[in-house]
Order: sequence, then structure tokens, then C-alpha cells
Amino acid sequence: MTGDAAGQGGGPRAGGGAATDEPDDELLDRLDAGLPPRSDEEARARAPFERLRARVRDLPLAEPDPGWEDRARDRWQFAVAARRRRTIKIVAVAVVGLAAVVALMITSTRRGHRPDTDIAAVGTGPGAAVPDVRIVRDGSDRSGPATVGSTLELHAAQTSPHVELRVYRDGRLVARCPGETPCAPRGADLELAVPLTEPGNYRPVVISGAAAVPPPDAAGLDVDMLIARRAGLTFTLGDPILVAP
Amino acid sequence: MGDDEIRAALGRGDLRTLHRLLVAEHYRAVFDRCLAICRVRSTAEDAAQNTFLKVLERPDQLHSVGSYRAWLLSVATTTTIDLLRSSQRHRDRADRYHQSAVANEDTVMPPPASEAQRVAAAIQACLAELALETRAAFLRRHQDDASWADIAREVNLEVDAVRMRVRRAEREIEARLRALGIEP
Repeated sequence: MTGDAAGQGGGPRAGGGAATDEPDDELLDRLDAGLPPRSDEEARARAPFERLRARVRDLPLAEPDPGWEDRARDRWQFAVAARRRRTIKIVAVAVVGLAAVVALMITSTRRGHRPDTDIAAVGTGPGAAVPDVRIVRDGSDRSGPATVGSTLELHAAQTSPHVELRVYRDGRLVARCPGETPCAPRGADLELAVPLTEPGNYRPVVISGAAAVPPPDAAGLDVDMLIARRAGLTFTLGDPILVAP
Repeated sequence: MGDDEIRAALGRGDLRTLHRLLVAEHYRAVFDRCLAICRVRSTAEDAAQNTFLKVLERPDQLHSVGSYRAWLLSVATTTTIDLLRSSQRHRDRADRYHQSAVANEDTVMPPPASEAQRVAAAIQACLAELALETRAAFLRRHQDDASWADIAREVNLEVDAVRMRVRRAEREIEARLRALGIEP
């Protein structure tokens, strides 16, 4: 017998027609379809195939090796445990991912509530003078969080022909130098002392450049920044200072 | 015990019991089919165990199955073929078995005790010489009465190609038995 020929001789056919490459194909087709033989001759020709099919159907079952029940059960338990470990891993990764997303959302939401955060990066530029900040209470530097009753002392270097030092609270102007007291130009530099009379988010700003600094707008920090930038000035934001009651 | 108990476990979603019952009821038939296709006992055991795991990965499919045995044999066929195709280790084992069986054809097999055993051994020997997909298709067709379409899907061949291979194998086995003096 040519087993490989039997197995591999016929490649897949593209067409949908019946395979009729042997003379007894019709005979086997009729046998497959359960049709009765049309003649004694066909019955005789069919007989060996009918017997062969019956013998193939009745081939004895091969018995698995002893202990197969235990091995099948062990394999199932192993698969279940592996699936459980995989699920735990997936859940753990999902929880960590979810926590990261929530943390990110909380962080960005908090930032969104601070009106001056978005413009911080816009305002700074080359040559910008970041204000030097001190919080003073009863004449000495105060450590820890700022509280109402302290004084915010700001110092900025005069690095450009025009420099103005300002302090905003929750986006609204509360002091500026030059322009208000107590503002004390010291040499080429500016110093401003702002009593912290109300709680809030204080933000020191230095506006500097070759052109004169435009006066502040009643709309507050955002608009002042746009006006300053339009005038070709550098708008430098200091770190926010949260003042507690 | 039988398919009714299996159906009840399926209804409860009790996969552990379902596995136990399916194995108890159908493992022998599944193992036999896997062995008939791959010819190596250790590979057949792997394939048989994989078959039950695979079936229980999608237990919802069992709800629409008319005969669990037929469904398991279908899955066993694809699982065994996939195992042999994907695993060089299993392919090597099958090749070694085939070579040693051919080299020691007269001594490896115990002498058949009866005429029925002699015929069965002769048929098994003929089946062993068929290509993997042809052997699987032949058994699906003539032991399970599976449709050509189902068989073609399981062995990943065109329907006409499968039909032609199985017909050719059938004619050659018949001729081989006749040559051995066995009335097919």
C-alpha cells in the first residue's frame, strides 16, 4: 500500500465538484448516501467496502495506561490553578492600572482648580527673574505652612530695563512693586512685603522686559499674563504659596 | 451515570464535576481516537487530556451539542493534529515510533490470538501508514459518520480533497487486506 500516496496524493481542490478520479467512486457515493444497490453486480462490488467499514467501526478501543484517571484529574487541577493564577495576575494589573488612572485624574483635577497652573510654563522664559520669597512672622522666618498673620517678603533682581513684582491671591492682584507700599526699591532690585491677611493660593510674579510694564487688568492673572506677553514682556511665575487660615 | 448527569452538571455550571463526569464517560474513546491518529501513547494521553480542557474552556458550547461523545471526538481530532503540528517533540516521537514499527513489523506486535484480532491488527497497520490528516479523516468518516464538511474543517483541508483522500485510502486498505488473504 502506498500510504503517503493515499494520504498526500490529492491536494486541495479549488473547485466544488465531486472527486471522481476512480471508477468505483459512484459506487461509494451511493453507499455513502445509504442508497440500495441497483443490481446484484453492484451489491457484490459494494460488499467488501461494507465489510471493511463495519470492521473499522468495530475496531477494539485502545485502553489507556493504568492511572489515567488520576493523571487526568491532576491535569485538570493544574489547569484550574494556572487559570486562577493568571486571573489574579490580570486583576492585579488591572487594579494597579486603574489606581494609576484614578491618581492621574485626581492630580489633573486638582491642577485644573488652580487658575494659574496652566500659564506657569507660558510665563517663564530666558532671562526671567524668579522672585525670591520669604515668609516672615513676628520678625523671623517661618518654617512650615504659611498662615494668615504672616508676611510674604519678595525680592526680585532688576535684570531688565523694566521690572515689576506682583502678588496674586487666587488669581486676583493683591500687591505690586513699584506702585504700592510697602514697596522698597533697593538699589537695582525690588522688594515687596505683603501681609497675608486672608487665606488662599498666593502667587508671586515678576514681569520684565525692554518695554514698559502695562498696568494690571481687573480681570486678574490670566489676562495680565496675556497683556504682558503681547507687549513682548516675560511673565515669570513663582511657586504657589498656600496660606492657611 | 451518563449524559443526563453531565447535562445537569453543565446546567449548574459545576465545571469540576463536569470534567469528572466527561472523563469517566468518554475518556477511553477520546484516548483511543488520539492514539489512532498520533500512534504514540504518551502523545495520545497529552492530546486526550488537552481535549477535555479545551472543551471546558468553552462550556457554553456544550449546551448546543447533541452528542457529547461526537463533540469530544471532533475536538480530539483537531487537538491531536494541532499538537503534532505545533510540537516538534511530539512529531519526533511519532516519527521514531513509525520507523521502529516499520523496522520491527513482525516482532513489535504480539501475535494476534484470533482471526478478528488479526484483521484488526491488519487494519491498524494500514491506518498507520496513512498520512496524519488522512488517518484522522478516515476514522472520523468511518467510525463516527462525521460529515465531509465537519471533517474538512477539523483537518483543515478542502472538502473534495478530504473525500478523495479517504476514498483512496479505503480502496487501498481493501486491496491490502485482500493481498493479506483477509476477506475485507
